[in-house]
Amino acid sequence: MAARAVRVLRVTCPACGEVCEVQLDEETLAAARSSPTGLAGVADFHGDHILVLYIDADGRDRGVRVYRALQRWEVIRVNPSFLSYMSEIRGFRVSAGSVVECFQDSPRAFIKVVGKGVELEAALRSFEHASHAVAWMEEFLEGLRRGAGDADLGTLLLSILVLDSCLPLKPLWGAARAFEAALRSRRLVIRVDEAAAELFRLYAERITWLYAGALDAVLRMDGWRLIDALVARDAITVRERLFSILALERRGVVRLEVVA
Amino acid sequence: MSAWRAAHEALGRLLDSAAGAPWAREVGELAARVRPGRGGPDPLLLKAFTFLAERIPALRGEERPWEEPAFRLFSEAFMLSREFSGLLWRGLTWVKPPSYGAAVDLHSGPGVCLEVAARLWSRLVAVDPSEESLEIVEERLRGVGASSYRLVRGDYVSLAGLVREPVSIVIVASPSNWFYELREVVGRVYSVLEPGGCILLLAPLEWGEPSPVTPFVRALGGSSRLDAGYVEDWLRMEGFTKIRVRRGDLLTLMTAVKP
Repeated sequence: MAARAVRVLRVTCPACGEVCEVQLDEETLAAARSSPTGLAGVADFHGDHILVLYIDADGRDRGVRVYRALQRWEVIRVNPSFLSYMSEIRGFRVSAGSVVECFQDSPRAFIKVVGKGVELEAALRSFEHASHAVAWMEEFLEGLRRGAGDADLGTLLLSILVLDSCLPLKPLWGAARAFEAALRSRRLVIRVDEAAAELFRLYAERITWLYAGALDAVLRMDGWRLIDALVARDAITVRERLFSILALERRGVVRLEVVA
Repeated sequence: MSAWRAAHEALGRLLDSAAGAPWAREVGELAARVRPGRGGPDPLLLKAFTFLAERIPALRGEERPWEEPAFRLFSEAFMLSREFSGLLWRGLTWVKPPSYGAAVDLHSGPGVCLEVAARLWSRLVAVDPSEESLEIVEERLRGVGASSYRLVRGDYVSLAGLVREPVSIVIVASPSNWFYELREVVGRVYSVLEPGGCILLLAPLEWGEPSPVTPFVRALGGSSRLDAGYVEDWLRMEGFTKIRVRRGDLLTLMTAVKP
Protein backbone atom coordinates (compact mmCIF):
# COMPACT_ATOMS: atom_id res chain seq x y z
CA MET A 1 0.00 0.00 0.00
CA ALA A 2 1.16 3.50 -0.72
CA ALA A 3 3.14 5.75 1.56
CA ARG A 4 3.50 9.52 1.05
CA ALA A 5 3.54 10.93 -2.46
CA VAL A 6 7.09 11.32 -3.79
CA ARG A 7 6.18 12.97 -7.04
CA VAL A 8 3.18 14.66 -8.62
CA LEU A 9 2.64 14.57 -12.41
CA ARG A 10 0.27 16.87 -14.28
CA VAL A 11 -1.45 15.22 -17.23
CA THR A 12 -4.22 16.16 -19.61
CA CYS A 13 -6.95 13.61 -20.18
CA PRO A 14 -7.32 12.96 -23.95
CA ALA A 15 -11.00 12.12 -23.48
CA CYS A 16 -12.31 15.12 -21.56
CA GLY A 17 -9.39 17.55 -21.59
CA GLU A 18 -9.27 17.77 -17.81
CA VAL A 19 -5.85 18.56 -16.40
CA CYS A 20 -5.23 16.41 -13.36
CA GLU A 21 -2.48 15.89 -10.86
CA VAL A 22 -1.47 12.28 -10.33
CA GLN A 23 0.37 11.47 -7.13
CA LEU A 24 3.12 8.86 -7.27
CA ASP A 25 4.43 7.11 -4.19
CA GLU A 26 7.26 4.71 -3.38
CA GLU A 27 5.05 1.65 -3.72
CA THR A 28 3.97 2.64 -7.22
CA LEU A 29 7.58 3.14 -8.25
CA ALA A 30 8.44 -0.24 -6.69
CA ALA A 31 5.54 -1.83 -8.61
CA ALA A 32 6.96 -0.43 -11.86
CA ARG A 33 10.42 -1.77 -10.97
CA SER A 34 9.09 -5.27 -10.35
CA SER A 35 6.72 -5.30 -13.33
CA PRO A 36 7.87 -7.30 -16.41
CA THR A 37 7.08 -4.27 -18.58
CA GLY A 38 8.87 -1.87 -16.25
CA LEU A 39 5.69 0.19 -16.00
CA ALA A 40 2.94 0.73 -13.44
CA GLY A 41 -0.44 2.34 -13.99
CA VAL A 42 -2.13 4.94 -11.79
CA ALA A 43 -5.84 5.52 -12.38
CA ASP A 44 -7.65 8.86 -12.11
CA PHE A 45 -11.45 8.90 -11.82
CA HIS A 46 -13.17 11.10 -14.43
CA GLY A 47 -16.81 10.18 -13.87
CA ASP A 48 -17.77 8.07 -16.87
CA HIS A 49 -14.21 7.07 -17.76
CA ILE A 50 -10.86 6.46 -16.15
CA LEU A 51 -7.53 7.95 -17.14
CA VAL A 52 -4.61 5.61 -16.53
CA LEU A 53 -1.15 7.17 -16.46
CA TYR A 54 1.71 4.74 -16.98
CA ILE A 55 4.98 5.57 -15.25
CA ASP A 56 8.36 3.90 -15.13
CA ALA A 57 10.48 3.08 -12.10
CA ASP A 58 11.86 6.63 -12.06
CA GLY A 59 8.41 8.14 -11.98
CA ARG A 60 8.53 9.40 -15.56
CA ASP A 61 5.36 9.75 -17.60
CA ARG A 62 5.35 6.89 -20.16
CA GLY A 63 1.94 7.52 -21.66
CA VAL A 64 -1.75 7.72 -20.83
CA ARG A 65 -4.78 5.66 -21.81
CA VAL A 66 -8.46 6.15 -21.27
CA TYR A 67 -10.33 3.07 -20.05
CA ARG A 68 -13.95 2.32 -19.68
CA ALA A 69 -13.65 -1.40 -18.92
CA LEU A 70 -11.56 -3.02 -16.25
CA GLN A 71 -9.36 -5.87 -17.47
CA ARG A 72 -9.61 -9.03 -15.41
CA TRP A 73 -6.61 -9.83 -13.23
CA GLU A 74 -5.31 -6.28 -13.52
CA VAL A 75 -4.06 -4.42 -10.46
CA ILE A 76 -5.06 -0.77 -10.60
CA ARG A 77 -3.85 1.85 -8.18
CA VAL A 78 -6.21 4.77 -8.11
CA ASN A 79 -4.83 8.28 -7.77
CA PRO A 80 -5.13 9.10 -4.03
CA SER A 81 -6.76 12.42 -4.95
CA PHE A 82 -9.93 10.31 -5.41
CA LEU A 83 -10.07 10.00 -1.63
CA SER A 84 -10.76 13.72 -1.38
CA TYR A 85 -14.30 13.07 -2.69
CA MET A 86 -15.04 10.90 0.32
CA SER A 87 -15.69 11.75 3.93
CA GLU A 88 -15.59 8.35 5.65
CA ILE A 89 -13.22 6.14 3.67
CA ARG A 90 -9.53 7.02 3.71
CA GLY A 91 -8.32 4.06 1.67
CA PHE A 92 -9.72 0.90 0.10
CA ARG A 93 -8.92 -2.22 -1.83
CA VAL A 94 -11.49 -4.16 -3.84
CA SER A 95 -10.65 -7.62 -5.14
CA ALA A 96 -13.05 -9.15 -7.64
CA GLY A 97 -10.94 -10.81 -10.29
CA SER A 98 -9.07 -7.53 -10.63
CA VAL A 99 -7.66 -5.58 -7.73
CA VAL A 100 -8.42 -1.88 -7.41
CA GLU A 101 -6.85 0.01 -4.56
CA CYS A 102 -6.49 3.57 -3.43
CA PHE A 103 -4.44 4.66 -0.45
CA GLN A 104 -2.97 7.99 0.56
CA ASP A 105 -0.89 6.63 3.44
CA SER A 106 -0.47 3.49 5.51
CA PRO A 107 -3.56 3.09 7.67
CA ARG A 108 -3.16 1.16 10.92
CA ALA A 109 -6.49 -0.62 10.80
CA PHE A 110 -8.84 -1.91 8.14
CA ILE A 111 -12.25 -3.38 8.04
CA LYS A 112 -12.20 -6.39 5.76
CA VAL A 113 -15.29 -8.12 4.42
CA VAL A 114 -14.92 -11.29 2.39
CA GLY A 115 -17.53 -12.94 0.20
CA LYS A 116 -17.64 -15.58 -2.49
CA GLY A 117 -14.65 -14.61 -4.63
CA VAL A 118 -14.83 -10.92 -3.71
CA GLU A 119 -13.19 -8.90 -0.97
CA LEU A 120 -13.38 -5.36 0.25
CA GLU A 121 -10.95 -3.73 2.65
CA ALA A 122 -11.56 -0.21 3.84
CA ALA A 123 -9.66 2.12 6.12
CA LEU A 124 -12.02 4.58 7.77
CA ARG A 125 -11.33 8.09 8.98
CA SER A 126 -13.16 7.23 12.19
CA PHE A 127 -14.46 3.98 13.64
CA GLU A 128 -17.54 5.70 15.03
CA HIS A 129 -19.68 4.04 12.33
CA ALA A 130 -17.78 0.76 12.22
CA SER A 131 -20.76 -1.52 12.94
CA HIS A 132 -22.80 0.18 10.23
CA ALA A 133 -19.79 0.07 7.95
CA VAL A 134 -19.56 -3.73 8.12
CA ALA A 135 -23.25 -4.10 7.23
CA TRP A 136 -22.94 -1.65 4.33
CA MET A 137 -19.76 -3.33 3.09
CA GLU A 138 -21.50 -6.70 3.09
CA GLU A 139 -24.30 -5.20 1.00
CA PHE A 140 -21.66 -3.71 -1.29
CA LEU A 141 -20.05 -7.11 -1.79
CA GLU A 142 -23.43 -8.68 -2.53
CA GLY A 143 -24.02 -5.96 -5.12
CA LEU A 144 -20.55 -6.60 -6.52
CA ARG A 145 -21.22 -10.32 -6.81
CA ARG A 146 -24.40 -9.62 -8.75
CA GLY A 147 -23.10 -6.76 -10.87
CA ALA A 148 -19.41 -7.53 -11.34
CA GLY A 149 -19.96 -8.87 -14.85
CA ASP A 150 -21.20 -5.48 -16.04
CA ALA A 151 -18.93 -3.34 -13.87
CA ASP A 152 -15.91 -1.36 -14.99
CA LEU A 153 -13.43 0.78 -13.18
CA GLY A 154 -15.55 3.91 -13.49
CA THR A 155 -18.67 2.31 -12.12
CA LEU A 156 -16.68 0.56 -9.40
CA LEU A 157 -15.33 3.89 -8.17
CA LEU A 158 -18.79 5.42 -8.44
CA SER A 159 -20.17 2.67 -6.23
CA ILE A 160 -17.36 3.26 -3.73
CA LEU A 161 -18.49 6.89 -3.59
CA VAL A 162 -22.02 5.70 -2.85
CA LEU A 163 -20.69 3.36 -0.16
CA ASP A 164 -18.77 6.20 1.46
CA SER A 165 -21.86 8.41 1.67
CA CYS A 166 -23.91 5.54 3.15
CA LEU A 167 -21.55 4.64 6.00
CA PRO A 168 -22.94 7.10 8.59
CA LEU A 169 -26.50 5.87 7.93
CA LYS A 170 -28.33 2.93 9.44
CA PRO A 171 -28.06 0.06 6.91
CA LEU A 172 -30.93 -0.13 4.45
CA TRP A 173 -33.02 -3.15 3.58
CA GLY A 174 -31.96 -4.37 0.13
CA ALA A 175 -29.05 -1.95 -0.26
CA ALA A 176 -27.23 -4.52 -2.40
CA ARG A 177 -29.59 -3.59 -5.24
CA ALA A 178 -28.39 0.00 -5.10
CA PHE A 179 -24.75 -1.04 -5.37
CA GLU A 180 -25.58 -3.49 -8.14
CA ALA A 181 -27.30 -0.70 -10.08
CA ALA A 182 -24.34 1.64 -9.60
CA LEU A 183 -21.91 -1.05 -10.74
CA ARG A 184 -23.98 -1.81 -13.85
CA SER A 185 -24.83 1.84 -14.46
CA ARG A 186 -23.06 2.09 -17.82
CA ARG A 187 -25.33 -0.62 -19.21
CA LEU A 188 -28.58 0.68 -17.79
CA VAL A 189 -30.77 3.30 -19.43
CA ILE A 190 -33.52 5.17 -17.60
CA ARG A 191 -36.98 4.84 -19.17
CA VAL A 192 -39.72 6.97 -17.69
CA ASP A 193 -43.27 5.57 -17.83
CA GLU A 194 -45.23 8.75 -18.51
CA ALA A 195 -48.62 7.43 -17.34
CA ALA A 196 -47.09 6.25 -14.06
CA ALA A 197 -45.21 9.53 -13.68
CA GLU A 198 -48.45 11.46 -14.14
CA LEU A 199 -50.08 9.53 -11.29
CA PHE A 200 -46.99 9.84 -9.13
CA ARG A 201 -46.86 13.63 -9.62
CA LEU A 202 -50.45 13.88 -8.34
CA TYR A 203 -49.51 12.58 -4.90
CA ALA A 204 -45.78 13.39 -4.74
CA GLU A 205 -46.47 16.44 -2.58
CA ARG A 206 -47.83 14.10 0.11
CA ILE A 207 -44.49 12.32 0.41
CA THR A 208 -42.14 15.27 0.57
CA TRP A 209 -39.61 13.24 2.57
CA LEU A 210 -38.82 11.23 -0.58
CA TYR A 211 -35.79 13.07 -2.00
CA ALA A 212 -38.13 15.83 -3.12
CA GLY A 213 -35.58 17.78 -5.14
CA ALA A 214 -34.07 14.83 -6.93
CA LEU A 215 -37.34 13.25 -8.08
CA ASP A 216 -38.26 15.99 -10.53
CA ALA A 217 -34.77 15.81 -12.01
CA VAL A 218 -35.05 12.03 -12.47
CA LEU A 219 -38.38 12.37 -14.26
CA ARG A 220 -36.63 14.51 -16.87
CA MET A 221 -33.93 11.88 -17.48
CA ASP A 222 -35.79 9.63 -19.89
CA GLY A 223 -33.26 7.95 -22.17
CA TRP A 224 -30.23 8.82 -20.05
CA ARG A 225 -27.66 6.22 -19.22
CA LEU A 226 -27.76 5.64 -15.49
CA ILE A 227 -24.09 6.52 -15.13
CA ASP A 228 -24.70 9.92 -16.73
CA ALA A 229 -27.56 10.53 -14.32
CA LEU A 230 -25.38 9.66 -11.34
CA VAL A 231 -22.06 11.28 -12.09
CA ALA A 232 -21.23 14.01 -9.62
CA ARG A 233 -18.09 14.70 -7.65
CA ASP A 234 -19.97 14.74 -4.40
CA ALA A 235 -20.77 11.39 -2.83
CA ILE A 236 -24.00 12.51 -1.17
CA THR A 237 -25.41 13.82 -4.45
CA VAL A 238 -24.52 10.55 -6.18
CA ARG A 239 -26.28 8.59 -3.43
CA GLU A 240 -29.38 10.78 -3.44
CA ARG A 241 -29.74 10.53 -7.21
CA LEU A 242 -29.27 6.77 -7.13
CA PHE A 243 -31.77 6.27 -4.32
CA SER A 244 -34.29 8.57 -6.03
CA ILE A 245 -34.04 6.56 -9.22
CA LEU A 246 -34.49 3.29 -7.35
CA ALA A 247 -37.42 4.73 -5.38
CA LEU A 248 -39.14 5.51 -8.67
CA GLU A 249 -38.18 2.13 -10.10
CA ARG A 250 -39.88 0.34 -7.21
CA ARG A 251 -43.05 2.22 -8.08
CA GLY A 252 -42.75 1.48 -11.79
CA VAL A 253 -42.36 5.18 -12.62
CA VAL A 254 -38.99 4.47 -14.17
CA ARG A 255 -37.54 1.27 -15.56
CA LEU A 256 -33.83 0.54 -15.89
CA GLU A 257 -33.38 -1.04 -19.29
CA VAL A 258 -30.27 -3.08 -20.01
CA VAL A 259 -28.44 -2.00 -23.16
CA ALA A 260 -25.42 -3.50 -24.89
CA MET B 1 -65.07 14.92 -3.63
CA SER B 2 -66.34 11.39 -3.88
CA ALA B 3 -64.12 8.32 -3.69
CA TRP B 4 -67.02 6.14 -4.84
CA ARG B 5 -67.59 8.32 -7.89
CA ALA B 6 -63.89 8.17 -8.78
CA ALA B 7 -63.84 4.36 -8.75
CA HIS B 8 -67.14 4.26 -10.67
CA GLU B 9 -65.90 6.63 -13.39
CA ALA B 10 -62.80 4.48 -13.92
CA LEU B 11 -64.96 1.39 -14.49
CA GLY B 12 -65.46 2.41 -18.14
CA ARG B 13 -61.71 2.23 -18.68
CA LEU B 14 -61.60 -1.13 -16.91
CA LEU B 15 -64.22 -2.53 -19.27
CA ASP B 16 -62.23 -1.26 -22.28
CA SER B 17 -59.10 -2.95 -20.94
CA ALA B 18 -60.98 -6.17 -20.19
CA ALA B 19 -62.44 -6.47 -23.68
CA GLY B 20 -61.82 -9.95 -25.05
CA ALA B 21 -60.43 -11.34 -21.80
CA PRO B 22 -61.99 -14.55 -20.40
CA TRP B 23 -62.86 -12.69 -17.21
CA ALA B 24 -64.42 -9.71 -19.01
CA ARG B 25 -67.98 -10.99 -18.71
CA GLU B 26 -67.90 -11.41 -14.94
CA VAL B 27 -66.32 -7.98 -14.51
CA GLY B 28 -68.84 -6.40 -16.90
CA GLU B 29 -71.79 -7.89 -15.01
CA LEU B 30 -70.45 -6.65 -11.70
CA ALA B 31 -69.74 -3.18 -13.08
CA ALA B 32 -73.23 -2.87 -14.52
CA ARG B 33 -74.73 -3.22 -11.05
CA VAL B 34 -72.65 -0.49 -9.43
CA ARG B 35 -74.53 2.77 -8.84
CA PRO B 36 -72.70 5.90 -9.99
CA GLY B 37 -72.58 7.73 -6.65
CA ARG B 38 -72.91 11.44 -6.10
CA GLY B 39 -70.63 14.44 -6.26
CA GLY B 40 -67.45 15.05 -8.19
CA PRO B 41 -64.81 12.33 -8.30
CA ASP B 42 -61.76 12.54 -6.06
CA PRO B 43 -59.09 13.44 -8.65
CA LEU B 44 -56.31 11.36 -7.10
CA LEU B 45 -58.50 8.26 -6.84
CA LEU B 46 -59.88 8.78 -10.34
CA LYS B 47 -56.35 8.88 -11.69
CA ALA B 48 -55.29 5.91 -9.55
CA PHE B 49 -58.21 3.69 -10.61
CA THR B 50 -57.85 4.74 -14.25
CA PHE B 51 -54.16 3.83 -14.12
CA LEU B 52 -55.01 0.49 -12.50
CA ALA B 53 -57.67 -0.18 -15.14
CA GLU B 54 -55.12 0.35 -17.93
CA ARG B 55 -52.57 -1.93 -16.30
CA ILE B 56 -54.91 -4.72 -15.26
CA PRO B 57 -54.42 -6.96 -18.34
CA ALA B 58 -50.65 -6.99 -17.70
CA LEU B 59 -51.06 -7.39 -13.93
CA ARG B 60 -53.55 -10.21 -14.34
CA GLY B 61 -50.94 -12.15 -16.30
CA GLU B 62 -48.50 -12.02 -13.40
CA GLU B 63 -48.34 -14.77 -10.81
CA ARG B 64 -48.14 -12.21 -7.98
CA PRO B 65 -49.78 -8.98 -9.18
CA TRP B 66 -49.40 -7.41 -5.74
CA GLU B 67 -45.61 -7.56 -6.16
CA GLU B 68 -45.63 -5.61 -9.42
CA PRO B 69 -44.39 -2.00 -9.42
CA ALA B 70 -47.59 -0.75 -11.09
CA PHE B 71 -49.72 -2.22 -8.31
CA ARG B 72 -47.43 -0.67 -5.70
CA LEU B 73 -47.84 2.72 -7.35
CA PHE B 74 -51.62 2.34 -7.41
CA SER B 75 -51.58 1.20 -3.76
CA GLU B 76 -49.57 4.17 -2.60
CA ALA B 77 -51.85 6.62 -4.41
CA PHE B 78 -54.96 4.83 -3.08
CA MET B 79 -53.68 4.84 0.50
CA LEU B 80 -52.73 8.51 0.38
CA SER B 81 -56.23 9.47 -0.73
CA ARG B 82 -58.40 11.47 1.67
CA GLU B 83 -60.89 8.63 2.03
CA PHE B 84 -58.28 6.08 3.06
CA SER B 85 -56.09 8.26 5.23
CA GLY B 86 -59.06 9.90 7.00
CA LEU B 87 -60.59 6.55 7.99
CA LEU B 88 -57.22 5.09 8.93
CA TRP B 89 -56.47 7.96 11.30
CA ARG B 90 -59.92 7.69 12.83
CA GLY B 91 -59.44 3.96 13.39
CA LEU B 92 -56.01 4.33 14.94
CA THR B 93 -57.22 6.98 17.37
CA TRP B 94 -60.38 4.99 18.27
CA VAL B 95 -58.54 2.04 19.67
CA LYS B 96 -56.60 2.02 22.91
CA PRO B 97 -54.46 -1.12 22.82
CA PRO B 98 -51.57 -1.75 25.26
CA SER B 99 -48.98 0.90 24.52
CA TYR B 100 -45.96 -1.37 25.09
CA GLY B 101 -46.68 -3.60 22.13
CA ALA B 102 -45.88 -3.22 18.47
CA ALA B 103 -48.09 -2.01 15.65
CA VAL B 104 -48.01 -4.57 12.84
CA ASP B 105 -48.98 -3.67 9.28
CA LEU B 106 -49.96 -6.96 7.66
CA HIS B 107 -49.42 -7.19 3.89
CA SER B 108 -48.20 -3.66 4.26
CA GLY B 109 -47.71 -2.82 0.59
CA PRO B 110 -45.96 0.56 0.51
CA GLY B 111 -46.37 1.02 4.27
CA VAL B 112 -48.56 4.11 4.37
CA CYS B 113 -50.39 2.73 7.44
CA LEU B 114 -47.17 2.50 9.45
CA GLU B 115 -46.26 6.06 8.48
CA VAL B 116 -49.48 7.13 10.20
CA ALA B 117 -49.14 4.63 13.07
CA ALA B 118 -45.63 5.98 13.78
CA ARG B 119 -47.30 9.02 15.35
CA LEU B 120 -48.90 6.77 18.00
CA TRP B 121 -46.66 3.71 18.39
CA SER B 122 -42.92 3.55 18.79
CA ARG B 123 -42.46 -0.09 17.74
CA LEU B 124 -43.47 -0.83 14.19
CA VAL B 125 -43.42 -4.04 12.18
CA ALA B 126 -44.15 -4.33 8.47
CA VAL B 127 -44.98 -7.78 7.10
CA ASP B 128 -45.12 -8.20 3.34
CA PRO B 129 -44.09 -10.91 0.88
CA SER B 130 -42.44 -8.40 -1.45
CA GLU B 131 -38.88 -7.28 -0.83
CA GLU B 132 -39.41 -4.15 -2.91
CA SER B 133 -42.51 -3.19 -0.94
CA LEU B 134 -40.48 -3.49 2.24
CA GLU B 135 -37.83 -1.24 0.68
CA ILE B 136 -40.54 1.38 0.19
CA VAL B 137 -41.72 0.89 3.78
CA GLU B 138 -38.21 1.53 5.02
CA GLU B 139 -37.82 4.58 2.80
CA ARG B 140 -41.09 5.88 4.23
CA LEU B 141 -40.32 5.16 7.91
CA ARG B 142 -36.90 6.73 7.66
CA GLY B 143 -38.44 9.67 5.89
CA VAL B 144 -40.76 10.36 8.82
CA GLY B 145 -38.01 9.78 11.38
CA ALA B 146 -39.19 6.44 12.81
CA SER B 147 -36.25 4.53 14.21
CA SER B 148 -37.67 1.45 15.90
CA TYR B 149 -39.05 -0.67 13.12
CA ARG B 150 -38.65 -4.16 11.74
CA LEU B 151 -39.26 -5.33 8.20
CA VAL B 152 -40.38 -8.92 7.83
CA ARG B 153 -40.76 -10.80 4.59
CA GLY B 154 -43.80 -13.05 4.78
CA ASP B 155 -47.57 -13.13 4.87
CA TYR B 156 -50.43 -13.99 7.21
CA VAL B 157 -49.70 -17.71 7.04
CA SER B 158 -46.25 -17.29 8.59
CA LEU B 159 -47.24 -14.32 10.78
CA ALA B 160 -47.06 -16.11 14.16
CA GLY B 161 -43.57 -17.41 13.47
CA LEU B 162 -42.26 -14.11 12.16
CA VAL B 163 -43.50 -11.66 14.77
CA ARG B 164 -41.99 -12.41 18.16
CA GLU B 165 -42.67 -9.15 19.99
CA PRO B 166 -45.94 -8.46 21.88
CA VAL B 167 -48.43 -7.09 19.37
CA SER B 168 -50.83 -4.28 20.30
CA ILE B 169 -52.48 -3.75 16.96
CA VAL B 170 -52.56 -5.42 13.59
CA ILE B 171 -53.57 -3.25 10.66
CA VAL B 172 -55.11 -5.01 7.67
CA ALA B 173 -55.73 -2.25 5.18
CA SER B 174 -53.44 -2.02 2.16
CA PRO B 175 -54.81 -3.14 -1.23
CA SER B 176 -52.40 -6.11 -1.06
CA ASN B 177 -54.99 -7.60 1.30
CA TRP B 178 -57.45 -7.82 -1.58
CA PHE B 179 -55.60 -10.94 -2.65
CA TYR B 180 -55.98 -12.81 0.64
CA GLU B 181 -58.94 -14.58 2.21
CA LEU B 182 -59.93 -12.15 4.93
CA ARG B 183 -61.60 -14.85 7.01
CA GLU B 184 -58.31 -16.75 7.33
CA VAL B 185 -56.35 -13.55 7.92
CA VAL B 186 -58.61 -12.62 10.85
CA GLY B 187 -57.92 -15.96 12.53
CA ARG B 188 -54.15 -15.58 12.26
CA VAL B 189 -54.28 -12.01 13.51
CA TYR B 190 -56.20 -13.12 16.61
CA SER B 191 -53.49 -15.62 17.46
CA VAL B 192 -50.65 -13.04 17.50
CA LEU B 193 -52.42 -10.25 19.40
CA GLU B 194 -51.82 -9.63 23.09
CA PRO B 195 -54.96 -9.63 25.28
CA GLY B 196 -56.42 -6.16 24.85
CA GLY B 197 -54.84 -5.89 21.42
CA CYS B 198 -56.81 -4.73 18.40
CA ILE B 199 -57.36 -5.47 14.77
CA LEU B 200 -58.01 -2.60 12.38
CA LEU B 201 -59.60 -3.48 9.04
CA LEU B 202 -60.03 -0.99 6.26
CA ALA B 203 -61.44 -2.39 3.05
CA PRO B 204 -63.98 -1.78 0.27
CA LEU B 205 -66.63 -3.88 2.02
CA GLU B 206 -70.09 -4.19 0.50
CA TRP B 207 -73.33 -3.17 2.18
CA GLY B 208 -76.00 -4.97 0.19
CA GLU B 209 -74.83 -3.59 -3.16
CA PRO B 210 -71.65 -4.04 -5.23
CA SER B 211 -68.79 -1.69 -4.48
CA PRO B 212 -67.16 -0.03 -7.50
CA VAL B 213 -63.87 -1.53 -6.28
CA THR B 214 -65.16 -5.10 -6.58
CA PRO B 215 -64.85 -5.30 -10.42
CA PHE B 216 -61.22 -4.16 -10.09
CA VAL B 217 -60.51 -6.78 -7.44
CA ARG B 218 -62.09 -9.53 -9.52
CA ALA B 219 -60.28 -8.37 -12.66
CA LEU B 220 -57.00 -8.63 -10.76
CA GLY B 221 -57.89 -12.18 -9.70
CA GLY B 222 -58.34 -11.10 -6.09
CA SER B 223 -60.47 -12.61 -3.37
CA SER B 224 -64.25 -12.99 -3.46
CA ARG B 225 -66.62 -10.16 -2.61
CA LEU B 226 -66.54 -8.96 0.99
CA ASP B 227 -69.86 -8.37 2.64
CA ALA B 228 -69.58 -6.15 5.71
CA GLY B 229 -72.03 -8.34 7.67
CA TYR B 230 -70.00 -11.47 7.04
CA VAL B 231 -66.78 -9.79 8.11
CA GLU B 232 -68.38 -8.65 11.35
CA ASP B 233 -69.57 -12.23 11.96
CA TRP B 234 -66.08 -13.62 11.31
CA LEU B 235 -64.62 -11.23 13.86
CA ARG B 236 -67.17 -12.33 16.47
CA MET B 237 -66.70 -16.02 15.73
CA GLU B 238 -62.96 -15.68 16.14
CA GLY B 239 -63.51 -14.21 19.61
CA PHE B 240 -63.08 -10.48 18.99
CA THR B 241 -65.24 -8.10 21.01
CA LYS B 242 -66.02 -4.36 21.05
CA ILE B 243 -66.45 -4.27 17.30
CA ARG B 244 -66.80 -0.75 15.95
CA VAL B 245 -67.76 0.06 12.39
CA ARG B 246 -67.55 3.25 10.40
CA ARG B 247 -68.80 3.37 6.87
CA GLY B 248 -67.04 5.81 4.58
CA ASP B 249 -67.96 6.74 1.03
CA LEU B 250 -66.05 3.85 -0.55
CA LEU B 251 -64.32 2.09 2.32
CA THR B 252 -65.43 0.61 5.62
CA LEU B 253 -63.43 0.79 8.82
CA MET B 254 -63.78 -1.94 11.46
CA THR B 255 -61.89 -2.24 14.71
CA ALA B 256 -62.19 -5.04 17.26
CA VAL B 257 -60.49 -6.04 20.48
CA LYS B 258 -59.09 -9.39 21.60
CA PRO B 259 -60.41 -9.82 25.16
